[in-house]
Amino acid sequence: MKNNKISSIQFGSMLIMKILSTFLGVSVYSILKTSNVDAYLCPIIAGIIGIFLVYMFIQFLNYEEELPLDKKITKILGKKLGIIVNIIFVIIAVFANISVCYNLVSLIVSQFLTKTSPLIIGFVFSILLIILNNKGLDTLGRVAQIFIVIIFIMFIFSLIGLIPSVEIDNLKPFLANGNTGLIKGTIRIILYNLSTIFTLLIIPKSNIVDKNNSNKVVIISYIISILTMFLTIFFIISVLGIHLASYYQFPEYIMLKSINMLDFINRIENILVIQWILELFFTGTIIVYFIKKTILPNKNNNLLTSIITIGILFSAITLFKNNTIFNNYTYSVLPYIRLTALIILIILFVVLKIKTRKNKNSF
Amino acid sequence: MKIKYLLITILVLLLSGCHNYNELNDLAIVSAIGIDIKDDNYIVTTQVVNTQKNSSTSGSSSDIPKFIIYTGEGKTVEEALKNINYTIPKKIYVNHLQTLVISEDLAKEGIENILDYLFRNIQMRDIYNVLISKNTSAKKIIETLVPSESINAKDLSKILENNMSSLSTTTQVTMKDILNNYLNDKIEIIIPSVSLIGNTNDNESTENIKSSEANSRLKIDTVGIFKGSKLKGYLTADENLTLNIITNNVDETIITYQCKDQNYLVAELINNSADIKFDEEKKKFIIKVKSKGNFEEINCDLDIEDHKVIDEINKNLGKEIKNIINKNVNQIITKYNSDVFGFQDIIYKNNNDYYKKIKDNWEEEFKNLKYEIEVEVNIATKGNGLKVIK
Repeated sequence: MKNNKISSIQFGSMLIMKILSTFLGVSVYSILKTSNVDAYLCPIIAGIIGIFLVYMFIQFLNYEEELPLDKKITKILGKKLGIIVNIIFVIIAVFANISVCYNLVSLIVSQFLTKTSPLIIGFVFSILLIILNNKGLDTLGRVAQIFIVIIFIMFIFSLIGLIPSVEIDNLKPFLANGNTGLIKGTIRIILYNLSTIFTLLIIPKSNIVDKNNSNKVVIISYIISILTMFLTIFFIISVLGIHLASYYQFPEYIMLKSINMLDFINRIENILVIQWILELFFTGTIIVYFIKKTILPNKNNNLLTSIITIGILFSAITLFKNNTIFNNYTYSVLPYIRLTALIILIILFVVLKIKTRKNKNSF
Repeated sequence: MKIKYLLITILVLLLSGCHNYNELNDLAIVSAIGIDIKDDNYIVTTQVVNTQKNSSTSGSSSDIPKFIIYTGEGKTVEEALKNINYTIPKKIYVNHLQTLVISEDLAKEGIENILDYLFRNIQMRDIYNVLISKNTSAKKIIETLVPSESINAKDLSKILENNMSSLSTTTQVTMKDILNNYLNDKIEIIIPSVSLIGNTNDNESTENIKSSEANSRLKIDTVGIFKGSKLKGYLTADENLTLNIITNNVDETIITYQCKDQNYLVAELINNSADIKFDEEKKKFIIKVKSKGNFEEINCDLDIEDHKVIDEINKNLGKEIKNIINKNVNQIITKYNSDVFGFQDIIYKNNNDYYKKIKDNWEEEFKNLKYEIEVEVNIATKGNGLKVIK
């Protein structure tokens, strides 16, 4: 029987994967392009600015603990405006998931299964995604917890293996390209990675078993995500060098090829890359869960999950006929889509604050 | 429930790993590739590990070559490599590539066209060694049978490593290094060379590896120096050592200096580090070299139990190293006008504001480059003997 309850650690695991998923192939590509050798500073600055987003997230989470995001929106903005905003969020989530789906398929097709149809790869993941989604929130939570353990074991192993290849000289010159690139890169991380956490608000706080810990776990998970992003980009630039790193679609994967521990643990990049595949897969799953719960909040409709998943898969393959279109989309279009969502959320937050203040005053 | 079983069945079929698979027996594992150019066509020679014959129980295994050579020709490297499929019964698999040999002619014409292929190929790992075939074709190098190793790609890698850990008169360069330096316009490419010595016509015959002294052998030579993507010439052993000292690439080397008339002192330097900084005020590079070592051979009557004598030897060795660096840096700059040391990159990374002022006139600045060398040598051990046998 489904109890639809998760622990705060499982919630935190979801948050980490949500933040990190768009890092591979999307954020790294974009921030290397905009910030050049200073790109490793972007996650830190974005992390500091992003504290405001975390504050917003916690405020939303604590507001009407029993309600998921769509209901909270309706309560804050009223029924008519609430429905419009929810529709906009669903559309944005669909677009976000299309890019996640293509990114996942593209990584596998370009690096491992060059002759396999992207549709087959996408279909295999879609089936898993549908099953996982239909199992309910408790299963999603357990899977998130298992995934995060695997991801961090692999991540730490990757870092240890890469330490001998680090060349600090590759990180120089410091801030030589001016602040513009750095600011642009920071904004991109905020939009690509940090702004995506609000999808998790579809899980009401009341569904978290140890909900008193949830705020603390959110903050810790956020810090871990920022550190992970910083370390990833730091290692990419210091191991590959900025010139080579900016020529690759997936420099994180290429970087792993340099691992050679004790002269016999090498050629392990295809195992270690699983960490990013798991992140992408889980993010795809949670977005589908978000869309499904927003459209039909009270039903666990298997057919709807299947339609959304397969629809997103087909859209991803039809919309992005090649990597160039995808890269142009993620670099030029996706930030604006994410920005729209962020602006709406900030407006929502302001309205929420005004409402709560009014309520306090009326008492 | 039926849908669930249907999905599980589909999953089992799709996840079985049977799609797009390759049997190990069907792969032609390439250990080395040679690229030549002839009449604007690329000739790609692959050295494929002979797995079939090695596992055979009949006949004498020493007579059987451990690798097979396949050659293809085409307008591009990929086309040439694919054209090998007219003669090979297996699928070419380059994931285990150890050595890439580029012919001297091709290196002189420019390697930019082959770099893109080597960078783009997802099967290739960019950590394989790259060499230039000096005074011979890449094919000739690839097909040479060597007595010490069954696969000559491994032999070449080991000679390179051996040189780096004993003499440092060549430099081990991987494809990653080449790509990094090629994409960075502030440092030039270097690639070590390999030549065929002895009776070069016997190189591919099994007779070559039957005698105790092989008729033809592979010799790893000094690095080829590039300007842009074109080979400009080869460094001498001393020039190569200087390059390695400055770029912190010396594992171990020996320094010989004349201590008296025709008598020499040989010191092995085992712990070397160089630090280069650009002094903006003096407008010159300060190259600081620190070396630790031990005596290998002393042919002069020296009292090495006296610390003053040791200090004197340290000073003289330092002077010798300083002379080598001084002479060779100048020589490399004037002879090749190629910034293989990465001086421009050092200014760009560490003195960026100054770099912005000089970047347009870098060619001129480079020709008139000033540098100051400080060498500190410390001979820590004397080998077995406390005194000199004289």
